Amino acid sequence: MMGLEPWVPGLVVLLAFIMAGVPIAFAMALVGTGGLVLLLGPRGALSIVGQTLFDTGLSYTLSVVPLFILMGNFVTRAGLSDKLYAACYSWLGARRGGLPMATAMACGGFSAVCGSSLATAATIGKVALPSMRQYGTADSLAAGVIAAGGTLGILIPPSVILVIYGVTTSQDIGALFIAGIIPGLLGVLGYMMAVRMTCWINPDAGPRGPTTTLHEKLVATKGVAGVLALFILVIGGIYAGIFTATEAAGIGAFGAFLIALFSGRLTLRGLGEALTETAATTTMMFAILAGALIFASFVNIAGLPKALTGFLEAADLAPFWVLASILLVYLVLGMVLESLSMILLTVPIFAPIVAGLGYDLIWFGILVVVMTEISLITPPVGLNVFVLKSVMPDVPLGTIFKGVVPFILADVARVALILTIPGLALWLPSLMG
Amino acid sequence: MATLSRIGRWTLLGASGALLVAMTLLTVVDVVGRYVFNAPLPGAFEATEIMLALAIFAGLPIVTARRDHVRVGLVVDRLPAGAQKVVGAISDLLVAALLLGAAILLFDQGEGLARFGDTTVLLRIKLAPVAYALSLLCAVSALVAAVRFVDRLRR
Repeated sequence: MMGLEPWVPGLVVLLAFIMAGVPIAFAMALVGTGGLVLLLGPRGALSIVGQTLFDTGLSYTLSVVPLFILMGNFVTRAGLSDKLYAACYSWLGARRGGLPMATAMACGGFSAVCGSSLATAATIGKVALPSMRQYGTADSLAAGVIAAGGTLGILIPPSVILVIYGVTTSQDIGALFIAGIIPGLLGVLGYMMAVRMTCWINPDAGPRGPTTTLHEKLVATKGVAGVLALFILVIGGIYAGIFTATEAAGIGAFGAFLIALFSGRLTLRGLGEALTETAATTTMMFAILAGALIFASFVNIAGLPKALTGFLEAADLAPFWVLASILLVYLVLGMVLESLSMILLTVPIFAPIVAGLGYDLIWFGILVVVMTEISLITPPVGLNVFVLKSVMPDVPLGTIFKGVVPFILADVARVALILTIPGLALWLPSLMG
Repeated sequence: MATLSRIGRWTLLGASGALLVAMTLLTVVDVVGRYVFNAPLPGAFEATEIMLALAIFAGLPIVTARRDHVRVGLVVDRLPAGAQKVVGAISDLLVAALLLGAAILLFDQGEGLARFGDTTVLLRIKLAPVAYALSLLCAVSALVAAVRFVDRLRR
């Protein structure tokens, strides 16, 4: 095809709509439909759009999304975050930088029962922040560790983003979940090291908390039994092949409901709120999903994948550098786009290229999710940072972004590590039953 | 008007909440039945699919009413108030028009499904009424978005 290909103005118009504040889902649906009408005529285009709208709703695999969101909402209401933080704090709190390190660890633990980064940051933030402030942790460090720790929500299974990635690339969702475990633990470790480094540079940033006795430690540790049981039930069940990821989500939501019920904190009103919040979040996500699918049909028919492959062939790069450039694209896009839309817009285009180069799509999925984690804390749109801003309104945004820098460095190191040692992601799934 | 919107909100929230509970329980019964009683529920996944679709679209009027759809405020939130109002109104109108379009397309889907009497494979659930229900929920959302548009102009 000569001259300007139709996907180029399509992308430009889409970005213009998004920047003008049109809801992303609707911007994608509008530009996608418009483009399809130009390419295929109104009849063909509208039948594709109608079919997409109907099929997106009726997808069995995607029913995993609301059920995992529901599980996270119940767990939040059961007060498990308080117990998790108390347990991590009892072991680490008395060290230099111990409180923020305990926060990073609690975030990792909460991620094991919650599939959303924003929820993890908001929930742990509510518990950890008052305690860190009480003992004089620097605002920048406190905010940074919660914003960064929260991002683990989408990597440590269950993960809503990994489900969406799995559906878009037809990869096994169970395998993706299991692949996220080691990189997620590496994330916790990296964030703890980032706290240590910060305290080493500025010893006043992370004062010690009071010491705890062994008895107190053991009592506090017993409090994480609920989280642990739920994680073993859900992820263990997937790992052992006892149930599918979709079934695991239903079981997990039910288990979390029981935990919330027996915690004595779940009121009828709380139950209603958990359900309605879940419904609203799910609708939001599916609107974006439907919009992205319509837009993806347009750019596919308009020849974007072919153009990109042609460009890569002409550039004659080594496969590794192609992959590295793709990851760089995520870093840039992540600064302006919301994470779900970013994944839905890019993965259908990049995944075939990456698979064509002979790379494993499960491994690529983990890399994409870690890049997405970074996008959640980089300015100017880092969503997790805004969650923090709503929890601590008196701290300027600039201070939070400054506090996040050491954690971004830890994340970059983690991407490099997973990129050079694919086994970090692929070893555990290879053992699955 | 206010009472009507309150009743509507609670009906829709109640419906999508109940559907979520039903999906959860159905999965639990299916898995427990399979392992403990060696009797899985045939076609459980078909029922789940349809409940999922209804739950999502039932949430649509609510999310639209609360302007909860994900958007990027990076540029537009820094514009002067007057310009923000104009851009916001255009955006609301677009959302209303697109939702109306979605309602029409889903109605067409329903017509097609009704003509061939399409059902799900195992449970033989008729699909046309499902498409009509989704279409209706989209139309309600379009109406909600239109009301928001008028509200914004009045302020």
